[in-house]
Amino acid sequence: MMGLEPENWLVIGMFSTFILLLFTGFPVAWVLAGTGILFAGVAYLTDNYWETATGIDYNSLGLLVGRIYDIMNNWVLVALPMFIFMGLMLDKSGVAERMMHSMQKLFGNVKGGLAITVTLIGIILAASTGIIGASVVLLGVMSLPIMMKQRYNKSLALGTVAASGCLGILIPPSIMLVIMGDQLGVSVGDLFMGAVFPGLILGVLYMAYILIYGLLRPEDAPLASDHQGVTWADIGRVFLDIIPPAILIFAVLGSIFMGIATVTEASGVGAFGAAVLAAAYKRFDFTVLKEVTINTMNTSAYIFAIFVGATVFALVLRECGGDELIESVLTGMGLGPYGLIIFVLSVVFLLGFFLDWIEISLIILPLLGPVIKGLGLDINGYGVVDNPELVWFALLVAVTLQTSFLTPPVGFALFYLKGVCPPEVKLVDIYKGVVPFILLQLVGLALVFIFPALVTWLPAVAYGN
Amino acid sequence: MSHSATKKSGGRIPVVDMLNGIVKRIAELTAWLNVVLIGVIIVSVIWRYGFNNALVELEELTWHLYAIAFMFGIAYCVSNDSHIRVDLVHMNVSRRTQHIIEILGIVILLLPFLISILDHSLSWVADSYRVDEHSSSPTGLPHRWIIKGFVPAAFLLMLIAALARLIQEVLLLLHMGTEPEELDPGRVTMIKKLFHVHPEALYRDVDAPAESTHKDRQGD
Repeated sequence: MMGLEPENWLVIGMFSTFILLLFTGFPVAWVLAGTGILFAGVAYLTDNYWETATGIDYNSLGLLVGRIYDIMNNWVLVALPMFIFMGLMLDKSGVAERMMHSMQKLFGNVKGGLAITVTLIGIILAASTGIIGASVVLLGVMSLPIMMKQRYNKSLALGTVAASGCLGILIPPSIMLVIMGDQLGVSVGDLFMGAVFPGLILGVLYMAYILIYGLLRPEDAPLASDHQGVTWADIGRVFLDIIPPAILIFAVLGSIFMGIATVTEASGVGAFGAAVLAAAYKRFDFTVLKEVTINTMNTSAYIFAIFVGATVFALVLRECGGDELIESVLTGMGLGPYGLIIFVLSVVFLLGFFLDWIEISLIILPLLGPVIKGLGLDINGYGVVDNPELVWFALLVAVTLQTSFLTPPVGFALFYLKGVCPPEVKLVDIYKGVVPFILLQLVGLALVFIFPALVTWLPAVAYGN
Repeated sequence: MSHSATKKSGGRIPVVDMLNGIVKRIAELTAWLNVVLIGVIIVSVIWRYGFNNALVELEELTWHLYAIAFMFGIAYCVSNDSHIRVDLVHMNVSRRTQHIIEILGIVILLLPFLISILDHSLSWVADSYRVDEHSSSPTGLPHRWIIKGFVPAAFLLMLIAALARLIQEVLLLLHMGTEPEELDPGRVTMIKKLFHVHPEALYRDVDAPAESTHKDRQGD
């Protein structure tokens, strides 16, 4: 073990204080900011009365104003409230209910068809905010009553909702990927494209599982009691209901992927498109617009508050030499590049039990970015993807996080789901339901880990032309 | 302390309501900048592809609008208590402990942060005003101090919201106000509020056991 510099104690103190204070339940943003300010004070005192040499004083805090301003004039992050607006507006437009209704008819003759419908809606409407709790809650509210009515096995129903809701944070246009791109200094478009195959693989794995479940235990995934044969009209309806939101989402993603529009432009157009869609479905009026607007402000604000808090924390941490300490500790463990990545992912997995992706992306990623870059990983970017190792790493973190949110006993998604379940559903039912999905996610994670091309191939092809 | 008489309005504390009202009104007004932002992005897209001409002013306007909306929004989140918390322990401690945590948190963590940033940002804006700082791009927007001025303005609003919360928590700790009704742990309540979700109403047509209509869902 290397000798500890006096400043290192400050770093250790900062992290321990942060984690301790987190569990008091005081808002995360202010725990971050407050710990930063407190330790700036502590560093000033230890500079004067002990042997540290950080050089921090009250005036150093002036630097923070500039850092906060840097968040304000970040053009890429403008996409964040726009995607949130788009998601909230899509939610209000009622596309999800329409799709639920028409697809249920289409899959009505398949055992497990209802659960597959839920997964598909989870994938297609992943845009809905990307806030982990929100997607699980919304999907649960929409589909649980129907599944219960159709006498689905409780655990299958709950597992499907939780897993599909979590998938939303991964599938583009995901606001988590916007933030990860910003923090790691990689292109958001690359991350969006990189997420396509991992997201699809997970979606397909879920649906295959549900189908097999329906075949093996048909009594647990029953058909609707009033199901009828599928007519051409039903198929037509499904297309009519799917096409408008699909066009919107493909237009947003397509224009980014083809390099026609920047992420910010695409997000603004997407927000507008969602409003047009709501109007087309006669769900758009002033009340809806006002509600979506205020919720957009509210949702983006609590994300940006953590941005501000993390900025304060990170700056003070850096002044205390925290960045070098973490880098030297990580590289000094002698794990080798892939061992180190597995170690980091395990830490992220554990953190995901009590922290949301917002905090993890904002605190951990900026510290790890340079370390990962320095590992000299040989990830094939096909000569066109910049920093392919960081793009790959970001997606690994993303898949790990959504697994973590689903994992008992403390997985985030489970608690949110519990909040919208009928009272006779116990947490244990949810736990039982998610276990198979967690295993599937681990399969997905392993695939992405072993075959980085799953992430880097698509952006390479898109830019190669 | 006429709890029953003021049940409907929740035993309000006038000064807290007044301060929160200020924050709420300003933030709900600036929230509309997000809608303006959509318009500005659409116009700049049309300009860029239709007329093959990128307008630096419009690009800068987009982040001006976004920044004002989210900065005031942060104060709004303090007011209506929608900042993200780690609910794990918080939801299992008594109301009294929650109030004490909240008071200590505001005094030790939040206020020092808000005050030191507010203090530093004032001279930072003054500097910008003195030299009439212009966008670094020659065709960009002039008078940078205007957008920079929103930093102290937003932090002042956060300070107001924080003080309102502090007063409210102290009074609640001293049993001088009525506790807000809140059945679920923090963020679940927040999401329900945000999305107007009423799970109790959802399961009415599910022929489940009778207890599903039971309102009080605590204690399982």
